[in-house]
Amino acid sequence: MAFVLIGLLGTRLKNGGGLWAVVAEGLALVWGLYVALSEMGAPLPYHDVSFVWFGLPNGTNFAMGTLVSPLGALMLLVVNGVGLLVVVYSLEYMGHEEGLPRYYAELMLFLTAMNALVLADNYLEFVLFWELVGVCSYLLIGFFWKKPEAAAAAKKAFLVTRVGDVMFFIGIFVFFTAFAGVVDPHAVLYPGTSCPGASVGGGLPWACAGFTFTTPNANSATTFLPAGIVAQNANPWLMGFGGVMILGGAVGKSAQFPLHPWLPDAMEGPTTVSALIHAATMVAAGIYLLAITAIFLGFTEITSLIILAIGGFTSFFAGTMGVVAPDIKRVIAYSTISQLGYMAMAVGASSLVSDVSGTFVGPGAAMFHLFTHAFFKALLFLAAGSVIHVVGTQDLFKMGGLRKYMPVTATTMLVGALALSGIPPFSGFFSKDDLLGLTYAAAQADAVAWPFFALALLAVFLTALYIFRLVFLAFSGDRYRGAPPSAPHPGAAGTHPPTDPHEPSWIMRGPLVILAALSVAAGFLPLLPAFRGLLPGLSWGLFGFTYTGSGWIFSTPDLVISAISLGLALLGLTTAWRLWGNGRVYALPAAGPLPRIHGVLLHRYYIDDAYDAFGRSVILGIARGFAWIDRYVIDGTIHGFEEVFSGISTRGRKLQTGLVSNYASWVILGLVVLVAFFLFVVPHLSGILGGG
Amino acid sequence: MEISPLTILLVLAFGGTALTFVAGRSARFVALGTAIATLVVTLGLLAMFSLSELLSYQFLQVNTWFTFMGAPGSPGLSIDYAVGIDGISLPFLLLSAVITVATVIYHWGEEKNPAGFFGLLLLTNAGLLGVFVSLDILLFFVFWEVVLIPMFFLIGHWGGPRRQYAALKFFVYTHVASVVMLVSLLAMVFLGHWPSFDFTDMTAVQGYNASIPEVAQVFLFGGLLFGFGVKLPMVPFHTWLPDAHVEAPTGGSVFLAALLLKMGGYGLIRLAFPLLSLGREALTPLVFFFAFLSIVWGAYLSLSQRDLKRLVAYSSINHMGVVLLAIGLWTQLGVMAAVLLMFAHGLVSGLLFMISGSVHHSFGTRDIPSVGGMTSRTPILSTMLMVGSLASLGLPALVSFPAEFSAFLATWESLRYLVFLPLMALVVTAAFYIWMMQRLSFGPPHGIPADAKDLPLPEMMGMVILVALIVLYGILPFLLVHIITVSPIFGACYPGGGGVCPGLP
Repeated sequence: MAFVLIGLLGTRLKNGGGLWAVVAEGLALVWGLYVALSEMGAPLPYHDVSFVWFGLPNGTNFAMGTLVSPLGALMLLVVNGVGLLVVVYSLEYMGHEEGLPRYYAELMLFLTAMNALVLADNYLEFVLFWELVGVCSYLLIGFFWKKPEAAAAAKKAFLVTRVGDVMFFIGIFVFFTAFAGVVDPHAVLYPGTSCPGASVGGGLPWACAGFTFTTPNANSATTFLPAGIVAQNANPWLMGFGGVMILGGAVGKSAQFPLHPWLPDAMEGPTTVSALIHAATMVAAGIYLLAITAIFLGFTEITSLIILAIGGFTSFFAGTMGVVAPDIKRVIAYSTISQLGYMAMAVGASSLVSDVSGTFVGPGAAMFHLFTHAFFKALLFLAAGSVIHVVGTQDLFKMGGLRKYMPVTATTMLVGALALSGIPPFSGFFSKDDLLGLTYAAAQADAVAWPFFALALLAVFLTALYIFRLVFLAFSGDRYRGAPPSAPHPGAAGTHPPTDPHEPSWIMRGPLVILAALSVAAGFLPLLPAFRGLLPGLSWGLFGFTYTGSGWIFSTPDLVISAISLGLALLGLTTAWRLWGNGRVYALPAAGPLPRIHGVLLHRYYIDDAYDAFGRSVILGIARGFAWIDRYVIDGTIHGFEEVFSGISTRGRKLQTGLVSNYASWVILGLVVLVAFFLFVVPHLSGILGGG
Repeated sequence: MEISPLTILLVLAFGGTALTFVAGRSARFVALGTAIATLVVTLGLLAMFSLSELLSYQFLQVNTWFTFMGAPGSPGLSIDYAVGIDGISLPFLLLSAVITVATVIYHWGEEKNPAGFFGLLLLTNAGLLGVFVSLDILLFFVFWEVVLIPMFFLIGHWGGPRRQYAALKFFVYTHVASVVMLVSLLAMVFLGHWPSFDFTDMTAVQGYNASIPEVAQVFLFGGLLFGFGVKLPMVPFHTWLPDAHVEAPTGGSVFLAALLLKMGGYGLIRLAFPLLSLGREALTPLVFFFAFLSIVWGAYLSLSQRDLKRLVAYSSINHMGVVLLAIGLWTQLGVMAAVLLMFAHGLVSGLLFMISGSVHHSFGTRDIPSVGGMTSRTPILSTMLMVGSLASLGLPALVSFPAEFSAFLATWESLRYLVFLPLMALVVTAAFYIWMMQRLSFGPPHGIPADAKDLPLPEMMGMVILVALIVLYGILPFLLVHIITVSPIFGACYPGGGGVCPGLP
């Protein structure tokens, strides 16, 4: 496995064009499929030999190894599947840009790091590749480095996620110190285990730890979580703290409130990069972290609730901003934040249910949504990329009527929008239904979760509203006939004059069609028992009927939730049709609270401005204050001493021509005096002091 | 008399220095030859170094220089030529040798009195090697002062516009510290009734020092903390550093940051902390205070700088604060992290100072706001700046990451929630590097003179050597960690250490 990674890296180095990248990524996908299929056949974790990255004589060791878990196998599929399509799409989309070797090199490093992260067998290794993923996204967001906005956006992405990373570090420290000398899920999962074959390198059956990932249905899971190591720890406060710190890392990486502002700005990067970041790599890492932590360590009840609350709130909060954004990519970016909020909420909900009931409920619902979301989000971005590529602007208000010119793009975009809104039979419906049902269960277990469940439902409405606003503004009505964009968006379509729009070539359309097909098919995959084996705690249902693997169970609450969420989605869709169905901008009434709300949303609740002001005035202010103290107080004191000595040195300068030799002689003289002092005076003194 | 390879190393280094001074026009060839020869010997030491000889120094050579009688009734006191290394000194030897080679190559085109310039660089290197191999208090001090003097000349003669002031400030400041250090060291020898000045046997010396009363130990430890701390430098005794760095020639800055600062950390690990346990226990809170202050102060001051070189100089204070913190924890993880971090910082800060020098060559200024978008004209320099900055802010797969991670993990283990303080400063560290890159490297080009050139070959070669090591040890840190932990200071906790565990927890 490591061999494949090295192969990827090797290819990366000599690739001058994108074809090498396509070949490498294709190989990676084949390999990912192989791993996933073997995982489906017999869900055993494959644990490669760990080696000690560095260690200490007192037994502290930091290991590196590979671990293929069912969840990891699923992630490999997502990362390499979407990765391959994005690389193919880049061949044309990025074809006219400068610095292509750099682009492909960074892209491949990005994907390699993400693959390695998924395969990491301990938190240190995980955080290593996590940071590498972060740096790659920094480089790629700043790909058009001549644009000041791109450079600023890259900086913002790096620094905001860095805040999260710092918390993640602390989370690792907490669990490292609490549980083991080795940050290794196995050491955590199987303390002192005597499982057959539990040695390093041998296959370790999951069931050995007392729970299995083959649970078909979250509601009927009966296997306990004996390795619920966090729950067993004697210091619940510390465990909760550690969990919250791990959550902090995920919040930064997955752009959850309050560390979300970097993601919309990250739209300054090439659209292909946005697709990758949003669907498969960067932001997925945060959710994956939460999911594996929920499995390997567990969260305390309070932590679970906090995760649920942040996720639920973010899903709503980001949706509101998506409704007003004028930039096509930013609308999709807000939708990513919102959907990631759903996933985080689902992780929180599943572990909250586990905590309360004492029954392990895996984070499968969250991961299933990650899986389906990857396809339809990549689809939305790549379709938006086609539009930008062709019309040369990202401004939704300058599009309109594109349906006639770009039927394939319009249709695939529509598929993506339907999937995102959760309209059956598109995949988003099934995954969203599952996680809403789970959150309902969590709210029943702990009433504090109710308001967040409600927010999440409202977000369903908002999702349909903003995504269909996008679709209608871009594709329906008539073509925008205003002045052509004065400065074509650099990078996106710098070389394309805004003439009559037309479909891009099949190199770009192909990935769109494949992704559209996957956006439909992904929803039905859980009907395969083997696929369910990859996702602990996943249930698959249709209007209250839940499939258990052998038959169907009916539950009224599930039906009600499905109906409500579908109703809200349809309501959002029709509202969008009423407001923007003609493809034109809806003029707000001048009076009333609406314009003010609109302004607040456009300014993203002023959170970005507040952070900017904080950085500019508080942090820089402290820095300037410290600099002043450094110069005038600390160095000033030293200068006071210097005044005293300068008299001596001036006199010395008169005696000798060179001031340096003067100092050298002072050194030697001083040395002689000191040695003499200590040799002859101190021994007597020490006798008097009574040292012995 | 058996000659240790370390003696050969010292003879080579000093001999090469002397040759360079008289070599005239061909000085740079002699200098490079000497630097490579010392590097080869150091690599030989690395190859011969035994990973299983845990409790004593290796390549030991002890010759009594002379003995004299002390006060009536007290035993005689001998001054020894005592050299030897363990896993803690070996990385510093390697660092010195590598940095010297890289710096000589970087300065290949030096025109202002090259014989003097290269000679002084090599003399500094020779003194440093001496510091890191000496196992006798007086020998240690002699080498310590040997390092000081050439650096004074390097700043004072080859430096920038305010070089006289900076050189004097550097010299006076560090000399005051040296005196305090010497007084404390000598007092330790006399109060503990050492039979000689050498400290080849750590356990025995700990035994002598056990007789020093606590009050005296506290004073001695405080003196050493000040003496080594100025070198480190720790806030508030740091103000010599930015001036010295800004005025020093590039090679001088590289030596100063990469090597001279390390003498402070090395002295603390070798002398102050293991030998004065009562003083250490009493003053550990003070050490932490200075460490946290340095970390936070260095980070914020870097953020407020406009001059690239000053920014890098203040970032050194931040990083060496982390080193001081890690030493102060005095656990295995902490000390290992401190040594690894010093090694990492040596490579990374060396690289960054070379970059600052090259930025100055290319653009005629180091003022960050007045140059922008340099990637378009000097892509290689810009890439180097990015590698150096990312390495310095602790990116994984580069050498600082395992060191910083270990240091902060060790801090959590001992101090728990206080770890927030340095970690929040870590965000500021990231901020000033990323912000600096945004302004210098990216955006539309401006302020770039028409004759701006990308890196000349020698300067690039010098940097490439450092980058290669930064990556090598970043990916395979155990290459170094295996060595660091082979030391009497980690010592007796090894399996087979006889059950006694005077070493680190």
